[in-house]
Amino acid sequence: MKRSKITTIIAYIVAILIALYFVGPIIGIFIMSIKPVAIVALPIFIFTPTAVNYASLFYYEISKGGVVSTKFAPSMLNSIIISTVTTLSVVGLSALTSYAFSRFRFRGRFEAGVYIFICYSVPSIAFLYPIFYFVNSTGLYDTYLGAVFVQTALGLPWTLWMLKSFFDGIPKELEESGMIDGCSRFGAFTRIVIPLSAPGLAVVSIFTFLFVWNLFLPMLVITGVSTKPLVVFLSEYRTQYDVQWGPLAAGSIVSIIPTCIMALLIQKYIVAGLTLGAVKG
Amino acid sequence: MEARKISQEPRKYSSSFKRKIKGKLSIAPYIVPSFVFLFILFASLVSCFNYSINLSDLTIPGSENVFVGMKNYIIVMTSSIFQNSFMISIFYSLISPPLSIFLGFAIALLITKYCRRGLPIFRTIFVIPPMIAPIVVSYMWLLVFMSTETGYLNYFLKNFLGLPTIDFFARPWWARIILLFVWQWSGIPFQFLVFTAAILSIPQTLYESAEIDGASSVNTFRHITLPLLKPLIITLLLLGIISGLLGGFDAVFVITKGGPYRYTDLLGFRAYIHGFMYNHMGEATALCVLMTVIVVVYVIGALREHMRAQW
Repeated sequence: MKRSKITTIIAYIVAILIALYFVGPIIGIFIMSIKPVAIVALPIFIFTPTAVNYASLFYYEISKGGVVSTKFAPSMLNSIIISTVTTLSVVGLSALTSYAFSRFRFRGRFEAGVYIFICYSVPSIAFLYPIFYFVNSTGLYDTYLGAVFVQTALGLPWTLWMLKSFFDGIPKELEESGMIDGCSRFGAFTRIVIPLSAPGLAVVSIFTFLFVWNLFLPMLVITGVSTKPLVVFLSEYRTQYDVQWGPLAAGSIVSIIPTCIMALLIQKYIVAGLTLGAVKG
Repeated sequence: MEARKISQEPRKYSSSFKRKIKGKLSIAPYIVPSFVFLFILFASLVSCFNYSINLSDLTIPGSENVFVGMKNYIIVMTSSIFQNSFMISIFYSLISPPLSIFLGFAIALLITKYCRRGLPIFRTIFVIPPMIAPIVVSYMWLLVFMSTETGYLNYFLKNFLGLPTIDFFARPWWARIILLFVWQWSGIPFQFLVFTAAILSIPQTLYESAEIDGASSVNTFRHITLPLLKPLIITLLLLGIISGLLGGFDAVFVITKGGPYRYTDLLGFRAYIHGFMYNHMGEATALCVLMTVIVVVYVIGALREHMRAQW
């Protein structure tokens, strides 16, 4: 079947226009972040680029020469700490459990799976009030421990589901031969299954990191001044009266850089991860 | 699990009950740690229910928890505010996921069929939007639709087309459509990625034999591509509807704040502001319990087969 060149060209033009729709806002916000302050919110596209918005992320000037640093750098650090620790705990815990679900047959296995799936599907808003009371009553409000605890609970179901299918793909015989040679069950798990599923673990880790990095609603409620993550910090640039576009645009760009890098790293595996369902809201 | 035992001394034959317990104990260390966390979700549902039947009003200082029974549930079921939120959420969950599935599928077809050489580039582009934080995505679109003359779209309308500007966030339907735009922006690329992978996994030989038989491209689509992708489409729809029904908080929080006059007041947003801004904790927790029940019923009813296949 031969297609005329014109069809192909039209198809490419349409596809490129569609792609522009998806890239446009990112480029728009990037352009905005390098604009001078005076025209930052105006759609003027001829200007000399500055880094002033990026600077204003970190500090702002008061009166003459006085400089006050903003909460941006601490909140970035918070995001990194919380996301990393949560990712480690989520992946560690779920590797163990999904291995059990993948290899052992026991009563209530499917029911447990249904429970995990329900936990995955229930929106985080439904857990909001109990989590809020829980965090407040145990003194975990505005602590890293509380944030990590809550996010681990929210991130686990998806990871369990994903890792189980990765483990299902690893042949049982490998562990069995290892165990015949005198390895314990746990030894077979750590020495045979974990190394073999390293790519899967990497993908799941990156997904969990992104999930935690982007998670907004529970963090809005359970973190305060000292553990506020980046997304919550960014959301505060929109006040009741105006939007501080300059630092907001710069902050958005800074926050999506790690996202983009990680998304591109796991590009090949992203589809397997996405088919489970839309990113939890 | 029993293979390890072979190398050890001959097993003492204990009672079957003892063996069962032993087997359970060897599984426990793998499962218990995560289920401690997962149990929180169950415990929170229970405590949510507890709050919703015991706690009436936090706005009166020093008031004790009073047992109010099903009062909060009756309010949630009958009040027009909540009915409005239910209707809006249902509206979005029936419009938004099918639309993004349809458009994602269409774009995937277009690009896999006509732009095969450019596929890696398009894939790279489409990977990014679903991964960006919804908060940031919402800000990006806020920039485009800003009501005042600083919004890009309004500026374009006024200065290039000479049209009057539109106050997008003051018009009910415009506000709704903007939210749809925001969700589609991250929804379509997601569906695109899923569908390109699915389309590429269809064996090429099927198309070749269809071509030999002289099938037109419409028929090839109708009789090969569509039937093979049908299960995937159904799964995506089922998953999309439930996440569309209860999700979508971030965009509403940043862009419309539920306005104008509750026209974009989604269930998730209502559950948040009703408790945290208006202090009606009882009604908010009742709503949360109802939402959880909806999810549980839906998952068990509609997604059972999907899970059976994977678990």
